[in-house]
Amino acid sequence: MDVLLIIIFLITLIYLALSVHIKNYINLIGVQGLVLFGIAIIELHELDIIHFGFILLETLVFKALIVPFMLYRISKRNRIFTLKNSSSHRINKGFNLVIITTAVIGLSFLVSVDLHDTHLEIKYFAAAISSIIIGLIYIIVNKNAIIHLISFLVIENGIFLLALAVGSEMPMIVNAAILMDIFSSVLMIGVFLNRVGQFFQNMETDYLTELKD
Amino acid sequence: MFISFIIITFIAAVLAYTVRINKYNHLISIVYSLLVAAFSVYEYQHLGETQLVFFTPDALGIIFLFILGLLGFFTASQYRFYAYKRKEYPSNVANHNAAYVLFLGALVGLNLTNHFGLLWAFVEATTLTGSILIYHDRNKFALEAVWKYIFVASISIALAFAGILFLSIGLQELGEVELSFEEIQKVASLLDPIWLKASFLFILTGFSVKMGIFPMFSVDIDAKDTSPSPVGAMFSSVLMNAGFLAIFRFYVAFSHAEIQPWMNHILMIVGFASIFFAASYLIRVKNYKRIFAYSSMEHAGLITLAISMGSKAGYIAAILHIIFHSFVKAGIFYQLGQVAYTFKTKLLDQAGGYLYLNPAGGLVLILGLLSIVGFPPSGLFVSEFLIFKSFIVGGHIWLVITVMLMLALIMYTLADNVLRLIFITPKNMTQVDINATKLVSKWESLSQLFLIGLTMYLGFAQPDFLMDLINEAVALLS
Repeated sequence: MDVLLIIIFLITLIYLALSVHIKNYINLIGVQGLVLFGIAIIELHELDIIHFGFILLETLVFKALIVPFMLYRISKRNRIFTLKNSSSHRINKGFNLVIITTAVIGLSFLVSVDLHDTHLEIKYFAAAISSIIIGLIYIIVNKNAIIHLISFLVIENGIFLLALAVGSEMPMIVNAAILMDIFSSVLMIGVFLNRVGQFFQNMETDYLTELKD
Repeated sequence: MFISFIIITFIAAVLAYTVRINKYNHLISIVYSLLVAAFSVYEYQHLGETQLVFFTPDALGIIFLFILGLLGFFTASQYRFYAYKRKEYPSNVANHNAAYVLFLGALVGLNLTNHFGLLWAFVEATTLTGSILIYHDRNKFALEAVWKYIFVASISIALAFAGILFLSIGLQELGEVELSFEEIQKVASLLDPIWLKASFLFILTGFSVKMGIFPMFSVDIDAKDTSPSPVGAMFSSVLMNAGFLAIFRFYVAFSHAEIQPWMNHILMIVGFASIFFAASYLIRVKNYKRIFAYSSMEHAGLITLAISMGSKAGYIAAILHIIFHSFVKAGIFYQLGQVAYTFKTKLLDQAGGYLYLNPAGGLVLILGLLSIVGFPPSGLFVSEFLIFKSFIVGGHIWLVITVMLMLALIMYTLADNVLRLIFITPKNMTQVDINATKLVSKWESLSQLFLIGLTMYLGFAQPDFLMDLINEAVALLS
């Protein structure tokens, strides 16, 4: 079951590379939240009820419901529904990015296997590293601030997955990751929702160039 | 006592947020900052005693706590002048002071914690509270700065967290090990070097945003430029110290493992790159706040290089340098607030002849410039001398030559621009409102002269207790 969930998680990463509609990106973030909820149930059921409940609440309520809902509001409020016909990508979308994403996933698995660490959960570790690297790549290749926000959430999901890999031994670490998730995401989305769209048209980061040397 | 401090911090923050009369609001932040100063003395008297399981004041934490106490008070006082002159709305002052109280509280926790997980959490807290401080002016520039700061700092902090997770994975083979500094230091030599290297690399990258060094330095420059000058002073001093402390804690913990020479190489690359980028950017900067922001990056680079020498002399020089830099740079940034108020611009080609408009402020800039470039009798002269001595003793002559060349370029650029600001009135200067300049009290410059004077004094006559603390701080290193 956990292998199936990891495969779904990896498919969402590849599908992100193909998406052009903001709605798709948001749905994929929601799916990742659900997948993490499933993995948390499988991996952390031995934890005490308070820690376990907190983690489940965070993955299901926050990652799978609240965050996608807030992203929809940002998209609607700023009337940004698609990245088509915009200069939002620094490289050609589509197969180039799919190839890069697939290569990152493949390399992450190869490196993880090559570590020969018996304590390491290779599937979680490789998926987490892939997610972090792919999130960083999406930030670099996209110019749209909403996609930057979504890429940040992909990185956060990768970190959460990495935390789950050591979670059953160190619940405090997982809780810290959750708090980071909530505080950073809410603050960032909050700033976005309330302010950025008012000042900067199109949400293209090319417009964020008032501060320079 | 610690629990009382935490409760007082939250009460002070709530009070600062709810009291909407500026006079009383400033009083709250000033009294709280005095409390931080008093708390630092209390913690010094209880050195090495663990409180609430996760907090143990050690020598380095106490040194930075003293700096925080002093600069926290001066910053709260300077912000009072800043808000008064600009006739800030009570809501703006309330938001600022509430965030400021929490910012100081987070830094106190960061300096005192003995646990890597909590250290990371307090760094994250400085990002959240610092963002509110940056967004003070609520205009387009502040919004751009705060968006970039939250975004890049959040990614950086996430990477630092990944570093802690790598360390946790490495620890799994040893069974249950706490993530406390002491425990990690004990077992570091038993851990797989791959996990330690990955951990250090991610932590260094993540916390570089706080220390203002390569690679995540850019948003730090924007934040110092856009935020009110007292906030810029805090970012250039105590927040930079916090970034240094976070990196240095891991460095100390890992120093007993076989990766220490490798960590020194990485720190050398980062330190060198920081000075190189600072020098490269400084040449084209035309904004006096950004000039001093890049100067902070240069000093942070020097400190990183001193640590990379891997010698006791290098560590002592680095700690002395960071203490002196904190005082001088805070003093300069406080003064830059008055400069910005006088000229209503931060552009160097539209401002000048400051000495004739504000003689006391001009004097601060002259002394500040001499101090920051390491001109005797500045304390920074002494610490830079010790840093270069550690390079030579370590056999890094090429480093001495290249860094000196870059520092010469930085000194020239700083002196050229700042001396123009002090002495020369440009042709296209914006009209200065003489009535407005009368609002700048000469007493505002007193704290700045005190800080610069203190650096000069400490450069040549370090009190015994300070040297004892510094020696104790580096004693844990192998």
